[in-house]
Amino acid sequence: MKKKNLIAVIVTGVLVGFAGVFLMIKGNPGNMGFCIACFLRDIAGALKLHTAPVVQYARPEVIGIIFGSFLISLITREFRARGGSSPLTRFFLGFMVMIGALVFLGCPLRMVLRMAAGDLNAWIALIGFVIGVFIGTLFLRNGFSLGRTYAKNPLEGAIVPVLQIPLFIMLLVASPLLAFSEKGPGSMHANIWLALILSLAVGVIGQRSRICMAGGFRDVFMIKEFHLFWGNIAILVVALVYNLINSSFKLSIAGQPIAHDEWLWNILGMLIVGLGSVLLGGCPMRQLILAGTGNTDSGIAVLGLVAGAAFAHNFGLASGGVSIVDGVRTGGTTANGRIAAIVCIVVMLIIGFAYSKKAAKSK
Amino acid sequence: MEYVATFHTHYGALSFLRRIRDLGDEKAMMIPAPRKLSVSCGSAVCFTLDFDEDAMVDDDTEGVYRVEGDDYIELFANH
Repeated sequence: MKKKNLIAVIVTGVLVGFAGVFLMIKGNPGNMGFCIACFLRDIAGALKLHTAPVVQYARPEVIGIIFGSFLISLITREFRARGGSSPLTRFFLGFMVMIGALVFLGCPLRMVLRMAAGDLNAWIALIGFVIGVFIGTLFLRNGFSLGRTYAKNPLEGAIVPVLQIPLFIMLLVASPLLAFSEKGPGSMHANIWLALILSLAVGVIGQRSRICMAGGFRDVFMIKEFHLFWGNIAILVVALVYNLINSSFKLSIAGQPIAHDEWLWNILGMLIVGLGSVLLGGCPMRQLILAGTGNTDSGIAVLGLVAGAAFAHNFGLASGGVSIVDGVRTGGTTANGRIAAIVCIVVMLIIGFAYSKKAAKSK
Repeated sequence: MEYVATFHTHYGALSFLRRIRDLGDEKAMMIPAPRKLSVSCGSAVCFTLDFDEDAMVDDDTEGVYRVEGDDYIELFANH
């Protein structure tokens, strides 16, 4: 049984690693074949929740992951509408995870895809992610809990997955109700059907395997269990090999696509993402998959991620990819983003302590 | 006899493990929740002490199962 689970996680990692490079080759932005944070941010832009003109596109990858998880959980009778575990706190944790991701410029999945493409900034950010996950496991060991979930009306669990249908139709017909970037990363995308089919597959197999970027490290720290971690390794190895074959591997700090080289803020940005993901019980990709299975708490976390993205762009918190034109450097973190990152760390620590019960301390 | 308990929260798993160890099962340990039992990525506890609902479970305990090969026989459910 354990071996079967391990194979499922590795197969998921292989698929995600392959899709992460393949979708980039087919038109998605550089080292961004898959990025849950960036794609939720693009969806927030498409819905005009923010007005940054270069990051507006209703990404079918997000739609596919949620809907794939929804379909497979209906087929296997694992769809269960559940929720009620501190939803507002989860909303703000999602909100802050997105701010951390946009200071770094990527979710844990994109961090690994960037690492696999030779982006040394992402390797530096990994330090922050691991520290964040480790701090999260310290809170778990000290009894951190957002409370248990309860069964809900099935309709409530179906809201987030079913909402993907009108969003996809609007994307397909290029509805004027949506915003579409004409330049920048939002204008770069793979064929809609190709992206949808691949991400449906990721949603299906991700639901079966329970792959989770933060869960992989968390289980290593908590219970010295490596099976989810091997999924992360599979993504890295497959994407690395694919990048080498495709000549899209470039080992450097400077000149990486949609990235900046401010190491401290890369570390702190991913520390926020790692810590927030453990407190939420899963990384942004895992939140999409859980939302597809009827988990309304994850649905709320996804809405928090979307709101965080809108806020980050409306208030100048999001970093920009560094570019140098005529000797002038643009992009990097912003002052607002750096302040927000510190605030997010402090607030997450407060949440961590506030929801911890020392009585649960294990031997 | 081997048992597996699943939980609504990590806190539930940690406090269950502590109770089981206090009851004398020093070899009880946390494991990833078996795929068959839960769609969450949460932890489970594997133990061998005879199951005693009154002494072991609380509201955070989702289920307790007896392991028989690849099958899990449900002994307690709190969904």
